[in-house]
Amino acid sequence: MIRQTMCMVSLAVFDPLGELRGVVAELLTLVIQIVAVLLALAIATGFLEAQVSYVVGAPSLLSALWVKIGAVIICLVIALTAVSISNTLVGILF
Amino acid sequence: MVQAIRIRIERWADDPIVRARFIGLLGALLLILTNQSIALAGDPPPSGGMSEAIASLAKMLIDGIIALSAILLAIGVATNFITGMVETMVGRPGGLSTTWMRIAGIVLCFVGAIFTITIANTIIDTLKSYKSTGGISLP
Repeated sequence: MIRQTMCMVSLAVFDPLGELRGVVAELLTLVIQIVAVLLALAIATGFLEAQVSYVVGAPSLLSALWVKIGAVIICLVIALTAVSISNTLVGILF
Repeated sequence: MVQAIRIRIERWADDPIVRARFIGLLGALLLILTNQSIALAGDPPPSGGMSEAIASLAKMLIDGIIALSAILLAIGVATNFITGMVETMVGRPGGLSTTWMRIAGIVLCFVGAIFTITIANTIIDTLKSYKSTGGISLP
């Protein structure tokens, strides 16, 4: 117990921003989950929109749906690789 | 003795500040006595946290969208067949073939809406391997 506490204290001393890193990691996880949910919602609303367009006689909106889904997938990929992108930029700039 | 206490109480009752404090104390006591309940010091009820809440909210929204899509499917089939019938009646039977294409599109969109969760899960599972696992670098 004492050893564990000492390890934690030494970690806190050597890595004063460790808590901040943990908070940011949790925040990023939440953001990624939200982006995943938004992907599902975008697919559902996109198909609904395309269906409405078909019903009212303007079927060209279905082609816009594929672009929309592609853009949402790109956003998800960027959200998933946010840490890698950030680390790369930090490595390049500093 | 009683007379002295009575005089003191009358003096307190004449003072508006003391009177307000006394009424406030009585109100607080009343609230404390009426809101008595057992303190639950055990573990909180099991819950999935924020991610579960977000997922269930999204599922609820998608269920609503699927219901709307089913309604639109019925409306679309009916209106398009009416359109095709009118076009055939007025002497332009080519409109009926347009009706089939439109209905095919409506059914395609309905199938897409039904399989939304499956499609989203497939995309997410495919892209999950790209998730960054390393720590965050700070300058």
